[in-house]
Amino acid sequence: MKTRKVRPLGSKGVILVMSFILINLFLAWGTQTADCKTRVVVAQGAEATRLDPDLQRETTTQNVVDHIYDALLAMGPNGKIVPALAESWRYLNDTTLELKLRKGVKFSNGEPFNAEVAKYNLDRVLGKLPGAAPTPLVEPELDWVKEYEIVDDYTIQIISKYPAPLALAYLTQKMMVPFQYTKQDNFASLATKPVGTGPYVLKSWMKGSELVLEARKDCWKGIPKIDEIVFRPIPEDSTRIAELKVGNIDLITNVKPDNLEEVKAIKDVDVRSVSSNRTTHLHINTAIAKMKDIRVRKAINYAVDVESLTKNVLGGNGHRVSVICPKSMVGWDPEEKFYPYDPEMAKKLLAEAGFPDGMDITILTPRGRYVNDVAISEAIAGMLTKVGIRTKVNAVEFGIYIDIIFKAHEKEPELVFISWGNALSNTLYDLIPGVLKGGVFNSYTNEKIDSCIEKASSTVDPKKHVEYLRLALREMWIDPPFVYLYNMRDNYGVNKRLVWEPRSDERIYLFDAYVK
Amino acid sequence: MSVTGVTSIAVSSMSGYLTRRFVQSIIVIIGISIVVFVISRLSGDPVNLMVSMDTPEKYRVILRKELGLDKPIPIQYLIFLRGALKGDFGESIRYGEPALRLVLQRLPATLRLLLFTLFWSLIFAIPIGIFSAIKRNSFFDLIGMACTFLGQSIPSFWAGIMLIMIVGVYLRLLPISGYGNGDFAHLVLPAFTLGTLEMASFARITRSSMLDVLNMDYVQTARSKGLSEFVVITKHALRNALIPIVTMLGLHVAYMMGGAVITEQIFAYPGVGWLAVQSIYNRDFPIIQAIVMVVSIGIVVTNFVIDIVYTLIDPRIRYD
Repeated sequence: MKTRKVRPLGSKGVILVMSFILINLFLAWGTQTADCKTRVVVAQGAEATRLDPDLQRETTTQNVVDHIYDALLAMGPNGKIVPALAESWRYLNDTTLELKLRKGVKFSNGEPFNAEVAKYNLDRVLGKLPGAAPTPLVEPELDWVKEYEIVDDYTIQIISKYPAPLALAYLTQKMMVPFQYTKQDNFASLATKPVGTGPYVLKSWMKGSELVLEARKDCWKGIPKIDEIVFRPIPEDSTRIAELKVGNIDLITNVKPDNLEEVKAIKDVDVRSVSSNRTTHLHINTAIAKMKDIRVRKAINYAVDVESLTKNVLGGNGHRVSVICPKSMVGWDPEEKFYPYDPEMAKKLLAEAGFPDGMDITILTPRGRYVNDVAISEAIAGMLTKVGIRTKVNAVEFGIYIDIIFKAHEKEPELVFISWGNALSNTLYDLIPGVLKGGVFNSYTNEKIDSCIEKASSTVDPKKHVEYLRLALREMWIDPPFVYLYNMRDNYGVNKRLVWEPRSDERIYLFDAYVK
Repeated sequence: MSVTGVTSIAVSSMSGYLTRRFVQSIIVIIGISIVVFVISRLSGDPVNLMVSMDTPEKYRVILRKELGLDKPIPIQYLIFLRGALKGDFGESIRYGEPALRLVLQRLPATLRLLLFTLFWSLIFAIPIGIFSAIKRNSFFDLIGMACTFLGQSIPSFWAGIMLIMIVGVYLRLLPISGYGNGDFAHLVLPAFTLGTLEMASFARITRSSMLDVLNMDYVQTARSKGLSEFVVITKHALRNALIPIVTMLGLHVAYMMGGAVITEQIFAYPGVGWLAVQSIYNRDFPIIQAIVMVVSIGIVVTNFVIDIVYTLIDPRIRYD
């Protein structure tokens, strides 16, 4: 029976392997280091990707980047533009913007910031740096720049191709990176070992697990009150809430309406809310013949009971918006008018448009990308079906949704669920791609509206700018290219010890925050 | 004859078989790579997901070119294949880092999770299965099988959330999510969630395969020789009942990898499964490909090992 001797490793062997695994597993049973540093832990749904500010445009990454870098200007919490690396600015004429840079600003590696570095940054983004890779995510934001000149070490002039009212807002998004550090390896290190002028530096980054920022002592803004900020990605809502409950996390994003009561009930935790720039509407695809008729587009607006949607489907977490500009943004019209909920009027308009028996349409909606997106679309479909517009909902994963939008523009769908955030807090940022003729995301023409938008986008006089925006919005109410719905209320779960207020642009910036 | 002598004979008689299996595996892996490559690329354009909606087409074109997505799919595949042979799966679209490096960074976390899950589920499953078989139709058997039935039917995302609520929030015994310093405490809840199904399946297969064996004549012979019941069960019955269990083990490594996708998401556990989901949503093709390659190689290797283990458990098995 010689074969008997060949056993599966032998029982001793099995025990050896098992105990090896066990010892390895037990090696470090959760050891938490306690120190007296103030440490705030933020949980977002996804993790940061690249910390090179010119190579990404995602809110989750941007929230990390904002703490490490500064732009020439900054967007205040109320959408007002405030000084940052530039102390002051003025228009010499409609197309020349002169910025006076702050003196004595140093990057975290000791490099100075000056006009030369600012120019180098613009060069990179606008593709004027030989050998540097293009930055197609950020370049379109500075499309208006014609040229720029260094006047002296701390003064730079930016000349635009046309009077560009969004110039200042766009400059708040362009973070400044150092010269020497990036030059030595053609920007390669920046994505994982960022160096900026901002109040924090990257301390450690365990991919997928946690990213730790540490306060700088020598930042031009002063020393932040929070010593360490930890960003943790937690994709699952209920897990984020559980971590908030046990006090491991101080701040969670995206508390859904369904979870609000649960979060409110947690001891030591507040729900802090803000009316968000993110505005939801249905885009009406006027490339389809029957949707060209203004009466059909108006009928759909009359047929949707927006108050009922925000109350019943969003649990009160949305504010009705008359057109597409909520109160928090530049362009909001204090004399705004709303479409009343009037199903009879809708039926009448449909009959006048030649559809007495109604019509069949489809709403394209992403699934799970925005708060209650499918539920909202289905509720709207129900309301439209009631007035004779028999509506199907086509709910798809976001990647597929985006592809349909850009490929199948002419055919289906008649309506598309859209929820746009607005980092610039200016409605013009939505009007150009969404409404203006030739916009990337537009199938509609109205010369009156186009002329208002064009005027609004070619004046740097803030008063006139707003005036034209309002005119455009009023015309859009009369000849609607969208079904007007609501803007979101963003809810954050926050430990009461953290003094911090949420912003309309979905950004989390903790420089001014502190712990009680 | 010495032990080493027997092993070397077994290996030499197996080498032909192993070579055949190796070639088959290569073909399978290439096949998988083509399917994944084509399907992922047909599912959508990562560029549209990266840029804001207002970005003009001009910049989308630049970005596509930058990422090599402007070429026809067959050409893209050949480029991929050429790189893959050198271990280069391209750069992640989102992270801008080598895809393979990102996957390998996360692999240890997933391996730990799988190993520990397998460890604890077998530790429980095999004794439960054996006792249920010996005491067939007893109260223990009834309870044991009811539990395994439950274990097989509870969806893991629900089990995970319940564990978080009870063990993490209410009892505050264990950390809820994340990886910590790679410590054991962070491993317990995910492993338990992932393992309930495994444990239940292994307990059931152990029971049924033990029942088959226990009725065999040689078991009766062993008993009638006057051997103790313990020796009869462990040496004579269990050894022969192991074959189906080992077969299951091979299959379940693949199942567990699938389960890890959900479990890692729930517990924000930084493993390959979570990275896979994230990359699929972002259409991060290089990472998807690298993950599929690494995981399929892992599964192929596991099955290799299982094949060898067969011959060790049951010397009658020969691959000729």
